[in-house]
Amino acid sequence: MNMRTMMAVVMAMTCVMVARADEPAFKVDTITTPEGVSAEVGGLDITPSGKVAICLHDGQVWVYDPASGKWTQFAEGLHDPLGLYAKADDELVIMQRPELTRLRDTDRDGAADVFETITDDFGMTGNYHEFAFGPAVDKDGNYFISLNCASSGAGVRYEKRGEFHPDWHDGRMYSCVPWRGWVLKVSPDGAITPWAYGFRSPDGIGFDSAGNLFITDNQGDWLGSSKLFLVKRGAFHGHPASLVWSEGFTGKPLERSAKELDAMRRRATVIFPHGTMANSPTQMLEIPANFGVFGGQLLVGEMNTARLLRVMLDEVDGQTQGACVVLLDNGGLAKGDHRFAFDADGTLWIGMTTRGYWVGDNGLKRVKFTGNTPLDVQAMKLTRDGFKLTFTKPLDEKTATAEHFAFECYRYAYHEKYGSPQMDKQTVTVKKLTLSDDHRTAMVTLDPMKAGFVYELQLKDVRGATGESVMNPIVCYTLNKLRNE
Amino acid sequence: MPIRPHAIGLMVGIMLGAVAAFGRADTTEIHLETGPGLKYDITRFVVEPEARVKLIIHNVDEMQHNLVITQPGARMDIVNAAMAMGADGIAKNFVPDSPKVLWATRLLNAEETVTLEFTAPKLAGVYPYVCTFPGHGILMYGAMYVGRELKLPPLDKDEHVPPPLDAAASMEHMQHLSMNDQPHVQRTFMRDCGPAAIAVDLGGGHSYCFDAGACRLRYAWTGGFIDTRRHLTGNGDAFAEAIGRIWYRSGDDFPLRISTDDRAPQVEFLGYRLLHRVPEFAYRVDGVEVHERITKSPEGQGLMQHFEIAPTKQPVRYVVGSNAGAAFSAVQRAIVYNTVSIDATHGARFTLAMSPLPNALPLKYITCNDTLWSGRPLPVDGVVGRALPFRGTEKKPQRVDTGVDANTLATGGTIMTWIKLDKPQDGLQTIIGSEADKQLFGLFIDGDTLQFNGAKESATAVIQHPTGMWHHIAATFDNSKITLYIDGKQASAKHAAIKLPATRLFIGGINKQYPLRATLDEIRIDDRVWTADEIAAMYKQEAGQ
Repeated sequence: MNMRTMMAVVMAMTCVMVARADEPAFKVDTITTPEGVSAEVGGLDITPSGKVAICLHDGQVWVYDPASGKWTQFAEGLHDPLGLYAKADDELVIMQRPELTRLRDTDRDGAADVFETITDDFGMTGNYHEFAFGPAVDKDGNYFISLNCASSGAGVRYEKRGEFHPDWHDGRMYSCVPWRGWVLKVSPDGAITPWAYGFRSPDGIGFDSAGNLFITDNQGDWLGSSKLFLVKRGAFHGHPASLVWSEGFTGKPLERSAKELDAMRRRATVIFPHGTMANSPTQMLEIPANFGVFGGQLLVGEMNTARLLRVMLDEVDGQTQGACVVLLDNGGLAKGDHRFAFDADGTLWIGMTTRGYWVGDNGLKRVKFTGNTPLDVQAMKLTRDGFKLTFTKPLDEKTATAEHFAFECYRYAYHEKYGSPQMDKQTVTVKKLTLSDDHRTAMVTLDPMKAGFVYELQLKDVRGATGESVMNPIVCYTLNKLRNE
Repeated sequence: MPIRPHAIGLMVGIMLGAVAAFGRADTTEIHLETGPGLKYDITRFVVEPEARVKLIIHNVDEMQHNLVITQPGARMDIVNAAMAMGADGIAKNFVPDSPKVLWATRLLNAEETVTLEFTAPKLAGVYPYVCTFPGHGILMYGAMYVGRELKLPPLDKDEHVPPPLDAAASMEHMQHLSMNDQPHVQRTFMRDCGPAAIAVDLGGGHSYCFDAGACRLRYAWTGGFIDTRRHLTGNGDAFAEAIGRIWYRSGDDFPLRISTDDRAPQVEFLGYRLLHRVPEFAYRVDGVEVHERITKSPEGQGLMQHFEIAPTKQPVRYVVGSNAGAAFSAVQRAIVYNTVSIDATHGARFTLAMSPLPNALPLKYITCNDTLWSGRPLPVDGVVGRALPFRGTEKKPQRVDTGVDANTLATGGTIMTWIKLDKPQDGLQTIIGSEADKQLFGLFIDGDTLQFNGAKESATAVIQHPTGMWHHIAATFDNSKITLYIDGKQASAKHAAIKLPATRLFIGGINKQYPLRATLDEIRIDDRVWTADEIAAMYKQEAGQ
């Protein structure tokens, strides 16, 4: 064999090896949106017949039929809609700035002709930051919506809607008309029940299949870093502006000290470390069983980078907490991943938005699992003295040692200032690492173990048994509560 | 404080700084503001090589921003390097440690200002400046052009500045809407209405604004639909603006009574249905369902309001209140003492026809109840509702485009406003004016002297006690006369033929000159000459509020 032939053979073999290791876990493709339409997606859902319905920043509503590749306009004229629920092919429920609206096509011409106000029973000052999100729909057909606080970046209108309290116009983000910063439960007939409060900019609200209500909130004043909450009825979730509408409230929102507020607040279920994981998380959605191996976990979107995140939940003494990790970085994704839905085949549909001017991209993408399971942390559970990390595939035991599992912990401050740096950051020693017989689970013993800290794991050149690298080597666990037994 | 990562650069800077202190008086001073949205308000400027530069950066946004000046072509490298700084970034103000960074500020919180002073590079070129906060740098940047006698490309073709926002699609959509003669509905933020506003285009440039919160028609206009571009491409703070002339404005009261007493009813908005694209609103008035559909009047001018009342034993009255601009008539019913009485025991329908009264409303009326710009200053208490403080300076002008070209007032015009000056100001200030061929047109104030300039001719009048209190001022003008009014009374008149430029009238300044530092309220511009009686009556009506 001459040199040339030998090189060709070597290259061919290398290519084959490289192709197998590099075949992506997810395939992303872009759907062309209608010409002349600025496809800044505020809401997205799959209709019962499998069409993709989207609502856009300028108020248009379009429906895409994946089978034919055709787009039809369902409606126009909504005000900054930021959530869509496809109840039927001819009935969409959409949350817009001023109200939760039921759009119906009663004359069967493919476009909505009835725009019914389900509820507009919340205040508006006209401040630009007063967005409205949802609906998350429970098994009884109740709608859960969330309302953004106003921002001191601009003023309030001369004419407002709802009972206005000028003395609550205080602080960087404020709530001086009813229910801003709250989650409201809306029954199908439109009656509202105030549900939970203490939110700032809760862009994503949704139920998992077990009926747990989740919400994301964005970094800002009183939020050191962005968060995911398992929403608790009647609880204060941390941002003081919306306290004013709670039962028995007196005085002004910022009269209470940070210490007092800290003692009252419900902790985040999962913190998204700013800069590392997400800067502006969007919607969360349960991953179905037919989308890879992460069925039952939560998908969370992010605006600032071309990224999808995944949340692995844990339960410690009856309390839910957990970890976040990247699901997919780039690989065909764009920025501005705002709204999501899975169709019956397990295809993920993503609606992106720049919201007129902000960071991101616009349009619609589709993600399919290729069947090529990536090497990733599948589950992260707290133990009494560390964590139990289960991987999607067996590890190369040579790389499953303490030196390859680097842990740090840090916490975020709870204060009025916008955001918080990572505080009290320290390296955490891995005292022991035990790999299970099937090489899929690593039990790590750590020191110190501290409640109230985020534990960040960086996997350093950990490899699978076949030599592949971990696809997403950084995992951040929000350790609210230590495990006692 | 400027962050200078390289010691050599620092040393050179100090040396040059020392040289500069010895008498080079020409420092190029630039005031730059952030946002709203991810941008700097100035996206490019020119300095000479080795010129002394003073950049004053003010963050009006609630997000944190910095400003980093890089070597030519290095913007994205630095942006990516800053993104990669991850969690440590904040402590380092997201300024990467790179020789490609020339000068950088710290991160600014809302309302903070920082000054960056440096000597411009010797080498001519295009030096990018950018905000390196993660996620911002792809949109938020500009270019410092260093050179002598540079010819810059037009802004929309300059690849060193951010591309124009892709409002094109939505703007086209909205323009397309108002030109294709089909009815359209758009919920958005509209001035002089509650926050839940519904703008409706009936086709042919006939439009109106319905207040979903108050469940009633607020105003109507002809000449187009709405311009939503600023609302959609900004952070949502800007209003959608009506295109055309508002010919009807409703009063403050809800017109329907479905009860035996006269108090304002409880209203609840139920939504709308579209009939051939035209909305029919549904709402409850004290629990009784009412449908209202507004259509174009068959004669082409004006509108028709078609009401349907659900069966109710309560007496139903529609009160035609202080509806500025329209003459009302009820189809096949009588209006007695401004009231239409309806028996709705078995349900009822009635129609009101609204015809525009010519010249009843001015060409342009700015209530000043809501802001005309982004951010501060915010509206304050005024004579009627709220008022707007203009706080412009030559460095930071604060002026508002009225949308009116001076020559549309060719057959005669009136400019009127309430004004409050806080402090005595020296120098000419623009109330409402424009400039053409270096000649001023419009209403100005110089110290205590009100001045109307009609290009070559002008009329003046002195305001007694000009500061600290509200004064009503007006100027009327036509081919032969300029008349000035203060507090409802004629203050001076001058026979003069004025020249009307084709240029746009602005409130608060002429380009960067003659900035206004006063609070204004109830601004009116009209294309006819108001009589002395009309002006006196307006003064009396508003002063009484």
